[in-house]
Amino acid sequence: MAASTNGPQSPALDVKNLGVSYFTSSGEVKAADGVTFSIMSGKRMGLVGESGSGKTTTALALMRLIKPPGRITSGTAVIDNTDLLSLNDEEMRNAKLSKIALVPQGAMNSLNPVAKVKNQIIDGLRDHDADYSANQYRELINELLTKVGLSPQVGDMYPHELSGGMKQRVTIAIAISMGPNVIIADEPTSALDVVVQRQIMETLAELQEELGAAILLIGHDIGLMAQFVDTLGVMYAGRLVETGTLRQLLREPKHPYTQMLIDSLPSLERQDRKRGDLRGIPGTAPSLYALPSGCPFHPRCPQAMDICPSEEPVLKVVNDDNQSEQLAACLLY
Amino acid sequence: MTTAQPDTQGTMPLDTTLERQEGSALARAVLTPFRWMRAYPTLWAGLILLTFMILFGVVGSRFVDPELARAGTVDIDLDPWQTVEYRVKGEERSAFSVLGTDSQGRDVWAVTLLGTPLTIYVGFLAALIGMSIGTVLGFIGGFYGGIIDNIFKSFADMLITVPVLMILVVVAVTLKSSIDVTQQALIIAAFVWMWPLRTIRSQVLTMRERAYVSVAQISGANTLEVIFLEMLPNLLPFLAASLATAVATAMLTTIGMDALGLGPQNQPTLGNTIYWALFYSAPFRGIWWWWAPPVLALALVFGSLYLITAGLDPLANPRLRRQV
Amino acid sequence: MTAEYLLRRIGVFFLVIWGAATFNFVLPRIADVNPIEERMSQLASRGAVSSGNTEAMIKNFEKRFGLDQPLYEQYLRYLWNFARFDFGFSIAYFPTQVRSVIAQALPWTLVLVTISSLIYMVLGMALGALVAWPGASRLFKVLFPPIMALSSIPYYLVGIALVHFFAFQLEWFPLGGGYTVGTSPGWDTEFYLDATKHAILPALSIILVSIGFSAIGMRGMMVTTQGEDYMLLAEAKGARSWRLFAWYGVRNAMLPQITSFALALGHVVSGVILVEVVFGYPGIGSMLLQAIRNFDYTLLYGIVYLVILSIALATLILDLIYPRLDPRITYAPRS
Repeated sequence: MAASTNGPQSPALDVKNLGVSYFTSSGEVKAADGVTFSIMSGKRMGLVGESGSGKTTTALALMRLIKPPGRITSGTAVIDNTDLLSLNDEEMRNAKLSKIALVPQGAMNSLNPVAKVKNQIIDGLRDHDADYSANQYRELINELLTKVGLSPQVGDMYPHELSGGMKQRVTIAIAISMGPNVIIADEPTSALDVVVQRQIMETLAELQEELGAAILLIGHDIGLMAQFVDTLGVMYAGRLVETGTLRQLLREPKHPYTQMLIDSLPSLERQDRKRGDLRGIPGTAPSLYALPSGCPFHPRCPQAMDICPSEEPVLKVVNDDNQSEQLAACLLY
Repeated sequence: MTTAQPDTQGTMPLDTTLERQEGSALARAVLTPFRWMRAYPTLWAGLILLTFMILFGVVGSRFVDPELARAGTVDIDLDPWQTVEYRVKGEERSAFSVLGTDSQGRDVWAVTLLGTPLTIYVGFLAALIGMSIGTVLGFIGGFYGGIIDNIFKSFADMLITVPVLMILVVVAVTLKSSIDVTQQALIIAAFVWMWPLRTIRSQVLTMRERAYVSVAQISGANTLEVIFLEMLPNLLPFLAASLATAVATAMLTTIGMDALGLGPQNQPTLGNTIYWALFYSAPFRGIWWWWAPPVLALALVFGSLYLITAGLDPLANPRLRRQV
Repeated sequence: MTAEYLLRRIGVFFLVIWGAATFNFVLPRIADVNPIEERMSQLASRGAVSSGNTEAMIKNFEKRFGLDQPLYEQYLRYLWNFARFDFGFSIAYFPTQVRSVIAQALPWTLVLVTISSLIYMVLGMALGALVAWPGASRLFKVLFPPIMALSSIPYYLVGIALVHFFAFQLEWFPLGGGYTVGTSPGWDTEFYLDATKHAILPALSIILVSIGFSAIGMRGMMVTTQGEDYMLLAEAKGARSWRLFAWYGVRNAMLPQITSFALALGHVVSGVILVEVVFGYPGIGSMLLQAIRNFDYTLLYGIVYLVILSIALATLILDLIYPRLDPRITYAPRS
């Protein structure tokens, strides 16, 4: 799938220094720490990392859906000159769907089992003071369902009558119902089979291009992402360790973690690699309760140096080809 | 733990290990009960209250003349807080009547002291027997499955929807012969095994699937060993919670029978006291010192059992820990 | 709902009432008591009926129950009679039919049980839902523990205390019964008001105790719904919080409460019977007490059979409508 190039070159979403912590009996756990990135309008960014790396936390924080004992501790997330993180609850509620929408993880259970599909779409609109007549609602729902590749009859069905792929399409219909600037898709296809995965991603991409919205795609499957995103961010232990264009990261990953992540992929662009020649990343993801000092990756890092356990790396420009910067948080650079 | 965010889930176990590490072995041994007390205040409150109620009856009844709990011993309808004179087999006695007397010449204070342990005894005996039946059947059903399991479970399910008190009324009236407290407990035991059966059965079913039981089976342990060494310890919190519930159910049933006049005759159980209080319309006559002591004693015992059940809940269902 | 489930469920219903009827038949025979003869001779010895009459009555009963016939025939006749709600004559109220004695009492109990159950279910579910909802007032969290503590106490003990304080001391309510003695039950407003006034304390003792029972189940389910993916998406939709509460939380959490209500029905009815005894309420419970005191076996068996039948029927109905309320369930295997 070709990366889209249309759209004005201003960030649709600009996230700076986002921090999310969970306050538990054994102290503060930083689930996301100093996360900074931006996505241009009409562009698609992927956020990858192992489970526990903070990618879903980041997604939920942008939607302001972090629940106690978790809390957003710092940062800004600007869409359309508005900082989502400093809105009051009512303003944020209105910003949902209209500025930022979520396509959730686990579509299997994301719809209310006892409500008809159409009512679940209407619920979102109705609470944004959309003043439509019953007829207008019906038309809108038909249009939305058709857009996501479903028949309008689906509106009168209950979620248990739909397949996993159809349910995920409904969640996409909900997400685009008010034409948001940013769509956050949190592993939208993780529970689906490969063929359906691809179809859904194509639908999502088409609609996003039509809306001119930006997409933040959360996932752990770089393979699937590579076919879809323009830029990529890699998270490790709650921090963003590297960002850049897809090409930069695949061709020349700078952070050792990214390198190992790319190496662990089954043959993607490098046709020469034989099947079965897969490399895992040694060691296990660190516990957020007891992060290693300095660079949290140093115990697993093949290129670790003496200073790594004592100094915390920050994101730095490591490669700047004419239009886009590649940043990495590694003491090697 | 409520930090059920997908991103931090993998790191949970560390939380508990950290807690376990602090302090020396000796300090731990000494502090453990207190820590438990702090961790499970509801459970402890319940246990302390129940112990108090048992001691109240068992110890307290040593200080009253059991004759006072017999009908016709003292003058009827006396107000509380006075010294009463009475006569047993021609022998003059006197006692201080804390709560006055009822309309049949019993001393209410004596009845309450003697009745509380009696009622608790019936409840516990019936519950223990019923629990044993339910646990054994639950184990057998859950472990072996198949037709036996189906029969046990269907029978339990059917019996659960039936008002047990009704069946007991028929039994008691038809047998008509006067029963004592132990016989009453045995009859009730026949109708409190269904809930333990369901709980234990479903636990055994899930546990059977878990790896350690399978491993024990593969490694050649026989079935009985698997049950007693591997499964039973894990089921202890469930058994304890079921027992507390079963005691409450059994007590509810025994005082229900008593209150309908079907309890053990001539025994000062709390239920019988309520029966006579109702028979003589004590609540309508404002004779609070007749009905209030047994009602209060029962309320405290039921309350303690509730606290125990509620306190065991986090142990039996760790997922619910820290909710609300 | 599959036909198989429907048949199975109806089969269980008949099994329960067959069991109840058979139990009533078998027990006196095992215990080797002939209740009618015993009762009659008891009455005769007191001079309540002349001995000539007694024999005629015993004959009458034996004929009615076919006691002169072989056991299996007796049994079949017995089952047939019970299936037609023909329980014979009441011994204490001879020659009134057991059926008509019960018919007088049944409406009182039905109304009391139905209305109290509806009220406690609604209040309990509301309380349970609000206790579990993070946005709700702290008041509910404060209210919850005392109501839970109350739920462990049998209804009728609470009833006794209510009588003392609200009827005896404050004289807000009548001391007992179902209506003012001297008035005759009729279909006029005055009688309804009078009956309502008499029913408030009995109903209150059922409701106060049962709220906790229904609240705790609801709280648990409500906590579960908050962890569900659909709640997260609903929140991400920017739905208002009352909508999240009502349509995504309560709507999902309330359905399982129907099942737990069905399971508790037997318990509730047993409790109501004792409440009636406390209040002298003219329903099934008071009638049962009378039957016990009079050794009115036919009435007793009739009452017990009908109570078990009513509960089994109510459970059956709830089980059959449940799948209609919950679109997730196509047929409802009871777990």
